[in-house]
Amino acid sequence: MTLAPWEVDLLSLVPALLDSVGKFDPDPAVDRLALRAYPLDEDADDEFRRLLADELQHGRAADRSAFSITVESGVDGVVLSTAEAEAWLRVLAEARLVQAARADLPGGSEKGSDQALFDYLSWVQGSLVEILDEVLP
Amino acid sequence: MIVWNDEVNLAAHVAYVFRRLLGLTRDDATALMLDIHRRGSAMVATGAREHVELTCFRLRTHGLDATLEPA
Repeated sequence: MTLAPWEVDLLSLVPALLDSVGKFDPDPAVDRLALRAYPLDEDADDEFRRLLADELQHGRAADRSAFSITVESGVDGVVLSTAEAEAWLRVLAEARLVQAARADLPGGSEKGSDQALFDYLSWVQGSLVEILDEVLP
Repeated sequence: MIVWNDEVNLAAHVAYVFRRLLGLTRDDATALMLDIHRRGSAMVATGAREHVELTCFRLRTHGLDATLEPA
């Protein structure tokens, strides 16, 4: 995979977008990305979070690191491993959810750079899924 | 475990995640994705608490809106 400089520029916005979650209030993205499993049972939900919060934090950090490193290499051409491609999928899925939660995308009236980033991330994610789907046994 | 419809995740992404994490065939994963899209939600797995909690966690890390209910 070789990325054009403008693609690197767009993808380089993603880590900062994800890092911004929860940095202002209210941020609807916080609720969408929240670690929860038991909407009808507060105690079970708390226990779920307690057990898996560290794993979530470490997983997100690893995914974002793999994403950033491979994006930076993209101008010169980079071959993603399956694990790296899946890290990209998780990062892109989160980024799209953050954008949509904040802007009521898609289907809203948002235009301009946010919409352009959303559309580009959608295209990249769709392309990755197509490739991964072919290699999955 | 229930997965809820959302209007943001790509259909192909959801179907891929079902294949990858639930071990479904391509046809079954696509059918499940479409069922959730049409009906708003679907029960996608049952089983021991530890197992479904881990699967729920993994689905959520891929951006899917998965929740659990006691049997």
